[in-house]
Amino acid sequence: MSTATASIARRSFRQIRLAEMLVAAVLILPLFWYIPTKSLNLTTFGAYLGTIGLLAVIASLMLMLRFAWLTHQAGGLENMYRLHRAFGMAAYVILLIHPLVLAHDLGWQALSPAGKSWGFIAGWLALLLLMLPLLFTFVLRPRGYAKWRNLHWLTALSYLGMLGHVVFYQREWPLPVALVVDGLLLFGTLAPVIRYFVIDRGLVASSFRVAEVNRPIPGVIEVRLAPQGSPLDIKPGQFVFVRFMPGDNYTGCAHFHPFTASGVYNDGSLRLSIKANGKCTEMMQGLEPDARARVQGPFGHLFENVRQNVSIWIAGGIGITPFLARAQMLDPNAGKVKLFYIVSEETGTAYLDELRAVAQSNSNFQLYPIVTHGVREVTVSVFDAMLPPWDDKSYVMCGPPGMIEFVRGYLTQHGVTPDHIHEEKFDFR
Amino acid sequence: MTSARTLFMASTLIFWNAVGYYAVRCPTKPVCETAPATLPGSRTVTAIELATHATADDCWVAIDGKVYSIAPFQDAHPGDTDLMKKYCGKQASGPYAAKESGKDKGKRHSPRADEFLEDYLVGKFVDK
Repeated sequence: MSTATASIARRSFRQIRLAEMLVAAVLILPLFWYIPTKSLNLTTFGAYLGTIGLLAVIASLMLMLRFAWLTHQAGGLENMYRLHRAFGMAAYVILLIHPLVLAHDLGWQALSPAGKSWGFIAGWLALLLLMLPLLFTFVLRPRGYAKWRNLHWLTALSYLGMLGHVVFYQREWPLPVALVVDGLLLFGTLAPVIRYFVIDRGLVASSFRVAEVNRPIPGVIEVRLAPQGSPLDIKPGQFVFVRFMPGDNYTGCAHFHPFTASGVYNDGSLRLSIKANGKCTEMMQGLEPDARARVQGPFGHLFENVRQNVSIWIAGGIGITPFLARAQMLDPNAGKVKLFYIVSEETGTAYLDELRAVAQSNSNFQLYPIVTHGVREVTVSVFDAMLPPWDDKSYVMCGPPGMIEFVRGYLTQHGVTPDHIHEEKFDFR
Repeated sequence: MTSARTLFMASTLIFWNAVGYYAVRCPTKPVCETAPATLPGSRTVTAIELATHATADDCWVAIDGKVYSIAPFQDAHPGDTDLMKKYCGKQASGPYAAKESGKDKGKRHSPRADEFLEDYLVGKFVDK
């Protein structure tokens, strides 16, 4: 097995291992107390479903913890959020089936809340409080990330109902089982608390200071961040979550925002290129030197498994940032790199001078700016002329989701296999 | 996200339909387990089954090819109640067509009595 293949296999194994370990834990753990302690009938199966639904909720809650080490185990932040969603949806469906199985065995009395205990009512409340926020999350999707996020947070109320339901019914369980479940419940309770009060409030983050500010093109601010303590171990192409703290001329934005480092320097400082894409990033255009920042990370592994001798880099707009940092660090004696920098208008081509300077000093680095004026066929005609032959190349992409989907489709059409495509989208949450 | 939306909507709709089913069709477990409910009076009662309802508290009678459960009616019956009890679990077309006692002895029961009787209908009588 070649080094490249082994490396890919290792990463895939790590990703699969976390997902499969969680699935196995969710499915198998409850068997240890249902099989030996209860008679096997439909009611027991209904209770078992309720328990695995609860454990899937706890796994989903764990996967919202944006810690660098955990995202690494999950194969990246995007993958971790995908797992969070998968476990959440699986939990929802299982928790819907749970009372129906009991009703099939016991009739309407298993569902009717009339004259029932508070523990039973808590179960119904948990289900309804899960259903309503998910209706907003998936169907009624409000405009704007902040509203979406706040409504999604309401699902945490459902967990309180689940707590009540389980605490009431665990009185019928053996003590060791109840203790294990209580430990898991505590973990599930702590996860959103840690996310809200520790991660989102920046209690676990490194302190940085804005050392320098530039404005290369209108609507883009370039910020150089200097560490105030020990620097982050960040590699070119990785990204960080940053929250700029309020200062004299900057009112601040309440939440952390992901940015790819467009420059990584030996003194531990980072360069971020921030395009005004929304309310928060528009406010950041007013940043000035000496502003304080809290930084979490690093995240991402865009270049981690790029092993082929020829690399094709494809950047869409401000998606140029990981390639900027990487281009500065390229070894002139390493493999060939062709960078296709796609923008819709001429004015969007920030950093062209910097990239041209790299191309002049490194004969293995070639730059191809593409100005589409909104016409995709322009990109297609350039790719058709410049990319073949398709084999034995790595394709690394960063840009808006639409561009990523389009280019991935184009490459797949030409027989490029998924293990040769590496990508980073802007839209993950 | 689209597949998650589809899964959410489909599972939620199926869930509420199932809840509705159990509320309407399955109020208790035994009823849930039987075949779909039959319309009142549409079942068949054999002479053997009729004979198993032969007490004052569980009194079925067969009149003109139909079976009625008349135990609740006994207290309201204007005529001889003991005479009624004599026919519990049996065919009673004869005494219904010709009363066996009272001032209307030998006469058929009134159309009003026919209407009352329909409220207590169990099913069709099969003499076997």
